[in-house]
Amino acid sequence: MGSFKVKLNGEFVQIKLKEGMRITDLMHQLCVNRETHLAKKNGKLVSELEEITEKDRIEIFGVVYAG
Amino acid sequence: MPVSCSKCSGNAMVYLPYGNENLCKKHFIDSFEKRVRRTVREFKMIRKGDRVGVAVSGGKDSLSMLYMLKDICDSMRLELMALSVDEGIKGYREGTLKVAKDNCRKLGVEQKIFSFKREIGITVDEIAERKERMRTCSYCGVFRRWILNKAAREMGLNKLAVGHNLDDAAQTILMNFLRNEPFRLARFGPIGGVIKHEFFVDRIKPLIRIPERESAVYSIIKGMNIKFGRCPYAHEAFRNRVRVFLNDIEEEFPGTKFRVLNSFMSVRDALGERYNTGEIPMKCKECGEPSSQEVCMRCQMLKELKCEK
Repeated sequence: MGSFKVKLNGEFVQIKLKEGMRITDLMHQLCVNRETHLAKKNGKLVSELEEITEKDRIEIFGVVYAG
Repeated sequence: MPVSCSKCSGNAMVYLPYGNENLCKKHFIDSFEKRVRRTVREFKMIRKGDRVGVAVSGGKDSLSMLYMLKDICDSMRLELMALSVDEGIKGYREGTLKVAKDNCRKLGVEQKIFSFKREIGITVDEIAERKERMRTCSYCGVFRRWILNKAAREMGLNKLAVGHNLDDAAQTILMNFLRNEPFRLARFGPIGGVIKHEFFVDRIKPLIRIPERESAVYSIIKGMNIKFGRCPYAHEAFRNRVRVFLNDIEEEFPGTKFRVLNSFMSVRDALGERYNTGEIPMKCKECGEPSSQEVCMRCQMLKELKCEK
């Protein structure tokens, strides 16, 4: 499978998409801690165990900040 | 294929690793609200006749707590007020105060805003400009607590709810261990009032069993329109290190934060007995507010900043 664009904290980043990849794997690849971030798939908040395909719009955003 | 909710056939919108559960919107809200209600009940945080104040910054934790306490207080026919503090942080606090105001209006909760400039005589931005000083967060925390306690008392409130969540609690517990400050730990807990004084308003922490990330989920579901952002002065290096450490461990060993809190709770009474010095707070000779020393921390800090009010 090819590369894939993901929105991470408002900016697009390119990642390698593998078959059966889940959001949690994606977070791992992006070095994002799931304790501090949430994910939206096609505009909806979803479980990080959700699988993704090339057609999906994925957004990962931080929700835990100091202060 | 969407992931199914562990409790029904609906689509899951959140995964809770510590329980290995996927929850849909309805079951997440049920679980969240049940936990907060249980905490309030277990520690008898709110009783009949109480006048409850909620410290509302406009962030996810304080607003999630406001939504919950509004419900709880309405069912008990209790008064509820929101107290907000404007520390004077340009480009940050205006936005969160607007969100706080909008949500208070939506819920029909009266909100009072107290500013550092008016109550203390200096803003956080002005403190940050001073050269010889401690970390900005140190002043901000002391001044904010001073304002909230005084304001709540003067408004006739006897409880002040603060949005400390499970992450904050686990960090505080660990930090006190790492700094070898068991006397501080002995004062920590879901409810304040370890040191009783007529001038102290009891602080309660209804979200102490809610992971921070879940209050974010709740705030999104409830449409609170939160701006997830970071205070520009949030440089408390030690807490940040502990936060990152706990989040890394939690990711690998889900449930760690709960275990830190539960371990502490199981030795809390013993700590209280060991470190309860029977200390009776006095009134600060400068401002008249309760203090463990002749001059309270707020007044000492103000002197340092050469900005007595």
